[in-house]
Amino acid sequence: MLASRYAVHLTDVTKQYGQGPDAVLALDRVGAGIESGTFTAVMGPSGSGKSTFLHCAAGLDRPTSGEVRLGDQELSALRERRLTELCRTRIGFVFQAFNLLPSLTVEQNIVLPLRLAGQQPDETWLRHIVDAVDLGGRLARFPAQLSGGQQQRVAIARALVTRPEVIFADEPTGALDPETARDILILLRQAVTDLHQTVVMVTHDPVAAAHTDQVLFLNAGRVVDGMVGPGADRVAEVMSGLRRAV
Amino acid sequence: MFTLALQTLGARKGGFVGTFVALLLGAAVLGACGVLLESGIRAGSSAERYAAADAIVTGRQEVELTLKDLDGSTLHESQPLPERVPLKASLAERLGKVDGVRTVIEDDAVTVRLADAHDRPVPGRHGSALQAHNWAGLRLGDFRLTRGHAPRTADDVVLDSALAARAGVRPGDEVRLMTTSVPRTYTVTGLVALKDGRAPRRSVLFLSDPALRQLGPAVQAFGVLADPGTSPGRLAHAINSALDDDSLSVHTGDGRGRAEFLDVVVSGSNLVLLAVAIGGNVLLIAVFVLYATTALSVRHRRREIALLRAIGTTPGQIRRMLASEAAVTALVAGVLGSPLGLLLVYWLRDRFAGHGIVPPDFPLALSPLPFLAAILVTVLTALAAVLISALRATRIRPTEALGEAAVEPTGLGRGRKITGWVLVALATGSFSTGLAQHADFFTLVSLANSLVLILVIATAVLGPLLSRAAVRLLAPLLDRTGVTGYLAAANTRANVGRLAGAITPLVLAVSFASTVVFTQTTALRESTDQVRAGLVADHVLTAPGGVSPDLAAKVRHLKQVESATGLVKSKVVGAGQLLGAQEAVSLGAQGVDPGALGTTIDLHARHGDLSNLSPRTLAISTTAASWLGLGVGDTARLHLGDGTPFRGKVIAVYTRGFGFADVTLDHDLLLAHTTQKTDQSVLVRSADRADGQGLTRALSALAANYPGTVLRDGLAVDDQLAEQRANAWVNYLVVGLIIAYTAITVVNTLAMATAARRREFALLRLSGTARRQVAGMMRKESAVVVLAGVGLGTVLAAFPLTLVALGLGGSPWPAVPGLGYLAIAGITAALAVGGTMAPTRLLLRIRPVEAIGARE
Repeated sequence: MLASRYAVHLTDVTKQYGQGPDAVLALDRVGAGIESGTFTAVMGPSGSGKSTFLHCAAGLDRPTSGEVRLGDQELSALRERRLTELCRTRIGFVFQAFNLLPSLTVEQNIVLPLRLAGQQPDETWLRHIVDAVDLGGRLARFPAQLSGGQQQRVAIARALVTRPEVIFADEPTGALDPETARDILILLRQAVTDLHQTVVMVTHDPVAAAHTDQVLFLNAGRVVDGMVGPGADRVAEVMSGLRRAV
Repeated sequence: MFTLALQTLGARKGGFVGTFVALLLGAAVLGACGVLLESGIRAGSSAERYAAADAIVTGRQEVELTLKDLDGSTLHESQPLPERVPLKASLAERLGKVDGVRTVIEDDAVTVRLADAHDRPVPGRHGSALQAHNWAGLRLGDFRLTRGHAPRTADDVVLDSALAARAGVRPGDEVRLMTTSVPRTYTVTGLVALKDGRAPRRSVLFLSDPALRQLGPAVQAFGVLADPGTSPGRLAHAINSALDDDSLSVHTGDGRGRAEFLDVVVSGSNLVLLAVAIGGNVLLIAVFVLYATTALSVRHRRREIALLRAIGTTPGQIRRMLASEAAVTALVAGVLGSPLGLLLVYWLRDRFAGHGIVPPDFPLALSPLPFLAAILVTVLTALAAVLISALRATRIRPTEALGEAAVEPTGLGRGRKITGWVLVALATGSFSTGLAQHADFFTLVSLANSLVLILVIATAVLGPLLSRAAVRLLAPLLDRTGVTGYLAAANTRANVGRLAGAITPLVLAVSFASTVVFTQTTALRESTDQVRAGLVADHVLTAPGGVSPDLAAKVRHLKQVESATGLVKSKVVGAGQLLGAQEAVSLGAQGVDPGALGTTIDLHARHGDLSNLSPRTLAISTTAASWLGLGVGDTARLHLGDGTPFRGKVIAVYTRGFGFADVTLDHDLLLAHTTQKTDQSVLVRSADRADGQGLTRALSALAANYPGTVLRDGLAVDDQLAEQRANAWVNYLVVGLIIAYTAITVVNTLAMATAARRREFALLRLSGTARRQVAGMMRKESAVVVLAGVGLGTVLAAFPLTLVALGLGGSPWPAVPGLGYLAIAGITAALAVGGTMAPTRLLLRIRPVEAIGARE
């Protein structure tokens, strides 16, 4: 079999919560491939399943049926511990908030995934990404001493430190003001262009989506549309169309 | 993982305070119990009267019983004997022939009561009984004549100088000594003291050998001096193999002190039991409490753990992190708890001494071992407690880190429901077993204790169900108390899980404390009632050091007296049956003159006829009957207090065993097998048409011949029940520790739960709720917690207490002193309210705008 051109590949992924009449179908036979070295946005109205999509793609949650591949590795075949170990080095995460452990300093937070894996941080790489996210002078501070934007930069640095295959970001700018949000999006863009990373970001903000290479639209658990080279206006148009359809 | 654990500990000190304090206290109590245990096992004082002997031969101070185990196999169990085992004088000759023995010196002793020339009684040091020894025995020990000369005639006596100082006598003065009859006058001819000038542990006096023999002494020991060049060890070995007698013990080195001071050894073995009981109880509660605090701290760290999981921490790493945190906390708590344990053990020793459980100068064996063991046990306990919560923690999904609010899972899992109902069934089973079987008191007490524990665990497991019921009951009431009540009702309705967590420690505190305390008050009430009802004698003669046994006979001859008896107390040992297995039991015994039994003490026979009591028969209480598995007509096989086997037919089973004793024997028989050979009191029943004043005068006149003896109207209930009171006190101590322990959980649980609500408070205030209203809402919420917790705890305690009350007296109502109940419920309630309101006030000081933006 040829090496996959996709960093992440979902085939017929279904995720159902609950049983019987109360069951909620969060993903309904979703198929999607994220190519390496791209910046992808996942969008959709509330309840469209975009968060579940992200969780399943990142191995944080297991699909009810279907297949999730990270590179060549089929995730659903792995046991909990192997899965965690795999994700810790091959996947990076940025959440909306509460990203950092309050008891660790900025530097300790950044290198935590490496320490969990029992690896020594590569000093050159560490300095490189710390410079990239512009945190040079704040490595010894604690998260509580940082602004929201700075905290997100630390989270991005942490996601980058293991040189993962994919970085997943869940509304990374949701809690930030537009100016700071722009900085963070530029940072993620740089990760793709300069560091050749693959980034998948869930967002509901058309302006944020405009920074990406392509957008996947989800509605009622299905991929309903796609857009390459998105502009904010076109994205907003599709989104309002989806909302009306609900 | 370890460094991460350390860092988390450093940063989140607040969350670990509860666990830390619980561990600290646990380590202190366990360390103290360890010291008591070691002191009990190694109990002994350095020898004084036996210090110069190479070996001491005494009777073996324990009796070995052959018992049947559950599976039918036999096992041997030793039970210590409270009375001195006498030796045969003929043993001296056989000892003399053993290789390596140079000289054999007999130590004879008789218990005496000393009075000065004015008939003022002089007790021994620390109020202990005094013994007179033969002068020849002086050579066995370190006593030296410091003044005067040795006793030569039958009227001479030598005192140790400390005793003489207390009696205010000098050589040449007269003192009076009492044994079995009226006092005799002796002249002090000399004083002895220990050669290093130390005050002797027990006061002693010496009589010349012929003078002592007149008083009917018992051979207490043989001291052996070795041939030059024979080591004590070899000597002991030679004696053991030459005599080949199980009923004898040979003591050398430190063992000589144990042979000399029986009180230390006897209280040592009691201390071992106490230490195990207290330590075991505290350990049990500790596991429960620690589980609660660690589970709580894991719950509050849900998001943090989820985040760690999301960035690639394996479940195993999470478990290791939690385990490291627990181990480090426990280690620090254990080390810091050790000095506290040291303070505690001295305090405990003094309290034990105050209640007569150990002698006031009982030496504590201090070594690092108990503390090291306590630290180890503390760490293991903490690890065990964290293990269960860690399992739960690793089930936390990483996706929870992504959500906006930490969602607490609601509802009971299937497994939990099944566990809960199995526990309820178990509790129902043991309750009905207890109801069906009229078992003895101690079985009932242990049944009651385990019943309340099962019930508390069931409460913890089924907590959300119970708190939902409580909310259904209480929320409508809250709703009627204005807007704050409305808010409080809504909060309790919406957070049944949180309420359950808050209620459980209150239930534990109230139900456990009530069960233990009111078991004792019920038993004491029953005992007091029995003493009052059963004592039909109308006059009682007592003396602090005991009453001469011939006084009863003299009283009996007074014409105004219908009957009189000496009352002597001791213990007997027998094979008891507990749930199918046999075990050695020690029972309280009393000796009463058979002719006076019915007219001075009414033991209330349930079966048989008490008037058939003779030196070859015995009567037993209902408790003893169920314990020993005997009924009227059966033959009892027992050992008296000095180890002498006794076989006798049970002629009656009586109900008033709590107030008096479990075994009633013939007075003269029991008296002969005690060390002191004195009566505790003389019970007198006046003749029907006696002239009351004349009798009082006649009795007082008789008593005047026996220094220290006084006439009383009735038996002092306190004296009669001294042992039970001491026992009750130990139980109160355990309760105190348990309350202290649960207090930590109560405060910790509520404080942490309240602190987690800072955003909620901020939101309330930003939407127009006044500070005072938030406080009011919290007050009402804590009222729900207190009402539900205390109420449920009270209900749970009712079951075991009903069992105990039924077993004791047949009435289902336990004795619950209102003040005692108020204290238990009040302290618990105050802790709960304080634990909620103090953090509430702190949180309300923060500006709401700050609090609402704050990270958790």
